[in-house]
Amino acid sequence: MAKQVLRLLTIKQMLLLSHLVLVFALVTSLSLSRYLSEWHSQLAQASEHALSAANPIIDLVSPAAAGLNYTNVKLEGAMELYQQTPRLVYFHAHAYSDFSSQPFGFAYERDSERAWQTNLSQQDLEAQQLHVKLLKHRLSSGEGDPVKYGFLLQRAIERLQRIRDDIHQTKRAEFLLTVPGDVKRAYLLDEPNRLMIFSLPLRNANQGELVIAFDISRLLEARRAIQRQVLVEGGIALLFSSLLIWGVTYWLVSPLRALAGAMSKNVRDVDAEKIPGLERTDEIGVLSKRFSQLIQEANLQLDDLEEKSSIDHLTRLGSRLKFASVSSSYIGQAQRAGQCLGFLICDLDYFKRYNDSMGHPKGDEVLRKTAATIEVTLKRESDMAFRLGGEEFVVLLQTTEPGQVHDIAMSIVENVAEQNILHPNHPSSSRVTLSVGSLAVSHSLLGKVESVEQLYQSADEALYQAKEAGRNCIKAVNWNNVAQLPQGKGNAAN
Amino acid sequence: MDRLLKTGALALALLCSSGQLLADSIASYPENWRDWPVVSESMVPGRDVVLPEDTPLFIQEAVSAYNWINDGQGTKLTVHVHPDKIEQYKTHGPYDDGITVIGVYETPGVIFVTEHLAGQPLYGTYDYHGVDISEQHATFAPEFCERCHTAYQDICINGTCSTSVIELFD
Repeated sequence: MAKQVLRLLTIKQMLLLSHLVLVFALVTSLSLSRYLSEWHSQLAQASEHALSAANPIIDLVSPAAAGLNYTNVKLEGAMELYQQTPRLVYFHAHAYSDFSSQPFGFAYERDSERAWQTNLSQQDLEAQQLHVKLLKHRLSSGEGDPVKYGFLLQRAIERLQRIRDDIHQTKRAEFLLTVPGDVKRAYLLDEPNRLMIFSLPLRNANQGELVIAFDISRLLEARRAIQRQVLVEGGIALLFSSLLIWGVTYWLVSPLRALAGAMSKNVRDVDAEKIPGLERTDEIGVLSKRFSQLIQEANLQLDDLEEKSSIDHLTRLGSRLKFASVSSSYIGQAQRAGQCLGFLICDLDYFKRYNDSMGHPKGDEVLRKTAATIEVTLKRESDMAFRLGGEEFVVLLQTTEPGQVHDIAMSIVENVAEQNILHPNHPSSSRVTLSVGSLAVSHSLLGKVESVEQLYQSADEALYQAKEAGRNCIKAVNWNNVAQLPQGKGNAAN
Repeated sequence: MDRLLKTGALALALLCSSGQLLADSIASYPENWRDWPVVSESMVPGRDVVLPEDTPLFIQEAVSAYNWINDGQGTKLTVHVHPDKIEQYKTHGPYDDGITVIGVYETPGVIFVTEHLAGQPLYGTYDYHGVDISEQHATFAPEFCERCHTAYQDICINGTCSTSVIELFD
């Protein structure tokens, strides 16, 4: 499966993907680790501060629990201590007194700024109501000292009101007084209510428990800040890493792809000096340099091959291949030079008979002499002669007048005849002769020439006519007269 | 009419008692206290006495409140209980109506009186001649006594301190 997936991916994709996955895993794990470290550090710090802030309260509540003293924990100084305790939200204490093991229950809530006894019951309320009723009865009945009863009644009424208030407060804040099970550990984080809750032992002899809650809004805000910071830093690290990976991958793979592209081109189309990666000193640079050397060597060999294939080995004239490669551009050159174009097709008369009678070596010698004669006849640098095959030659000329083309054609015919090469089987002459189809294209008409084949066909028609006319002659035609020529019947006869 | 008078008396009594709360002794002075049995004799420590760390807070507070007595040198404390309430005192109440117990600071001669009415304690402070001296010092005021005894409910039951605490004065 893995192999199949790998086969689907290019090297670039594989490098990118594998490194991105690796970087993502690294950045994620590092970010998570950093977040946890920072968060736990903040938690530990908050916990330490909270415990430190809880100590004075424990110092105050513990002796109060020991002696069932609700007065001291409600004094103005105590209330100031609670109010000034940083981030305190509430606390409640449960214990048993040290001497009589009576239950002690006390709570404080920051929002309402209330401190109250939490273990009062309905029975306590009813008992106090009865007591008030009794005192009222005694006072109204005139029994005893009215001042003393008045004092007791006022105190009892105040006590009754406190009991009522405390019971009401206990019911109202009942949710604060429940002890979450998990708080038995170090602390409990109640995130929905933004509280850090501790359960701490009191220091009275019978022990007891202080459940104290602190606001952790700042802590949670700090956590959000940590999360934001870690996310931003992780994102930046990921972005930079991705860019780096992309850059390195591009740096590695791009020259390889360019090299592959260059390798798929024709050798002649590759510039050996501009192969990608030549300037590098790494392995890719070595590869590029080696490829450049190969291209240079291949070009040299091709040059040699082309050189060899552009020359006709028998006559040393241009080969058919060279004719094919230069003839089209030759028309353009003549046009740019403002010259007329001459296109001659020369063909030795009855050359097959010569070969048959004199043998091919002699035939080859005739071909060489004819070619030399043609070459000698051509005077200008722009004149070019080719042997297309067998006894057929093509001459390309640039002249100032169309008539000069035909003059040169005539000179070639005459010069070949003057060679006086014996041809025993020539029906009309005992010497080797040449027929020429001579085509001249005036400069003004060069633009209408569509292809070399068009010229070749016209010149070939003229050659045919020269052959028909008895050979050892030229048939001169101008491009504008071409349409008047009778249509040939294929290549001119031998 | 009778009911109206009763209500008026109640209001007047409450008004008087609230004024008196901050000043005069509520409990009455017992003329014959010298004849009452002594249940304990101990010392109020002087100002320079350092109490053990495990001393109950009530005692610490009481000592710290009264160590100015006798120019900070401390004094003898004698506790007398009304003859009719000896048994009730042993069980820390409940108490019948009437004066229950007195504490005497020998020097300079201060009598702290605890009286019960309808089961509730009342306090007063007098000299040897029965003169109300509750205004002479903040710690003689009845509400000071009231607050301290009420605050330490674990050892001050029904307004009198439990034996275990008293023994610490011995």
